Amino acid sequence: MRERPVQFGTSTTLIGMLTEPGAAGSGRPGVLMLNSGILHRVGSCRLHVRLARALAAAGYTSLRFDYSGIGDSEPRRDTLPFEASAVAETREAMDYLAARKGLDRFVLLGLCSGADMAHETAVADARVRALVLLDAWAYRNLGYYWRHYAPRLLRPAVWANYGRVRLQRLARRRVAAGTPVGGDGVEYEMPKYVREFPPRERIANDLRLFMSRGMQLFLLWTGGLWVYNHRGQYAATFRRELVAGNVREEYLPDADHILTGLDHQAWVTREVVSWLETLPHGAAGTAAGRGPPAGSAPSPSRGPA
Amino acid sequence: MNPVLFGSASQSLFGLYMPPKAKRARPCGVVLCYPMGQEYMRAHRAFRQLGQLLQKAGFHVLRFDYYGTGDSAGDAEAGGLAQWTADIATAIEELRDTAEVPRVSLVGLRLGALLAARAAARRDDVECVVLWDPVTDGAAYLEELFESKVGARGGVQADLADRTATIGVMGFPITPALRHELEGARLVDVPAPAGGNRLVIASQERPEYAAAGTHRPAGAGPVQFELVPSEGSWTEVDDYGGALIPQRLIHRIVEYLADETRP
Repeated sequence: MRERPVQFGTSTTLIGMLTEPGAAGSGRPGVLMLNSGILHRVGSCRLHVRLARALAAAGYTSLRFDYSGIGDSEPRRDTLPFEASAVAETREAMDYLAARKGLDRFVLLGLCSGADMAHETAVADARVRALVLLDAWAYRNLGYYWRHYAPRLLRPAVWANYGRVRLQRLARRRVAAGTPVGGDGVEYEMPKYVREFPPRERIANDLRLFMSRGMQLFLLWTGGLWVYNHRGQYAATFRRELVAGNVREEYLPDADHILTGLDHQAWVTREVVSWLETLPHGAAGTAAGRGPPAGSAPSPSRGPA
Repeated sequence: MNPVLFGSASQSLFGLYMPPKAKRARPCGVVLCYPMGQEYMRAHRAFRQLGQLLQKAGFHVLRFDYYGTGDSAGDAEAGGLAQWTADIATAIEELRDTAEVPRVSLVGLRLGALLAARAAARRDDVECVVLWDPVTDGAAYLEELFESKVGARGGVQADLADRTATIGVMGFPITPALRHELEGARLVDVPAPAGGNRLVIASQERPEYAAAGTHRPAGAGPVQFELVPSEGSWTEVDDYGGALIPQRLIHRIVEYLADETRP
């Protein structure tokens, strides 16, 4: 395995770390790891470093890098919004790997905003053949509401609380909001990207496009995303668009959003690498239409104990 | 900003060399020493800003990742205090060679402060050591990490009584070896650098910071303590990768290092 820092980009200087296997695996796509929020390229809890090294051991070249203004990369001089610059810069990263390493197919991996930008880049660039999305955009469906509300309806405490709230409202009591006071935006910096979930119809269109290209998706949700609560929710939401053989959906209810669990980090690393190894790399783009609609035959749970 | 790998081939360290961006380059470098674990993630943005301000003040700057952290070689379980202290020494040599400067100062945050003090001990090429919210007692630091995080996001995931277990704290492992090292690490036991100055700068009123600010090891140069109150805690974890950037404190560190009238 070889690791070395690289600088690339046309609009500004982007800084990344290239990890290459000792002997490049023939036909394997390049893997790009995208920033989550303003966490720099090592990823939440250093997940990207761990993944890059495991991928190199399996023959994959990967690049983790910082978007402009994040981590160690310079800010841009133009006024392009983050959603546009992130897609442009991810494509520049692909251009870089194409020119330097001869790679022409790519896997994009991201958590939260990184998942969003991976999705958006895939829409714009057909070189993306697979996505690994952690806590991606998801949509509540009937199954979600059933799992969310049914257990509550059976708990007396919930009804008692409901009655108390109604009485409070009747008495027109005003309850102080108690909103915690955050940083002043100078001393405590949060991502400027505001995560808005696109309309479901738009995602359905994108997924049709992805499936028509034969793209492969590894989708994992943690217990830290409020709109997702059971394995198979995404497949059920987009059952008309997704092709089962092209999608693996997983749920780690015990994991938090930034994957602080050491066992969860190990599981994600292991499963992402082994999943990539099952893909038809040599014939990427021909896998569409291989199976029944996703969600019709859920695979057994393979989450960590 | 020049990203580099340095150190031995088997234990290469990732660093960013930041050359001076002032009309007059100072004949002194500054090595920035990160904290560990989730505190490292939370401090990355502040270190970038501190480095940029030091560049503008004419300093050669090197900020780098210890072995087993960030982009440097090694698994997360591989690091430890002795290793990281040696890494700072390697970084000092790297910066002195790259920038051709005879002397350096060190700025360390949290555990990085304790490591910086240890790395500076008995050296004669260290001009100043800035201890920023320093960990002064490794055992107390462990207690703080373990106790405050039980049941919280990123909380402790192992039986603390089991001294053979690696404990996950806020997403990063504390191995039995690191735990053992931390339990025996105290700032008061660290010898002074020969003639070097020391600034203890704190973002909160805590007795250990004030005590560190009055502790002057035998043979040490002047020790100064300053409190620059700032919001936020280094040991918090949020879902957004929020970064603490205590602006006034960062500017004060730059001002201190750039002060040529300092004794």
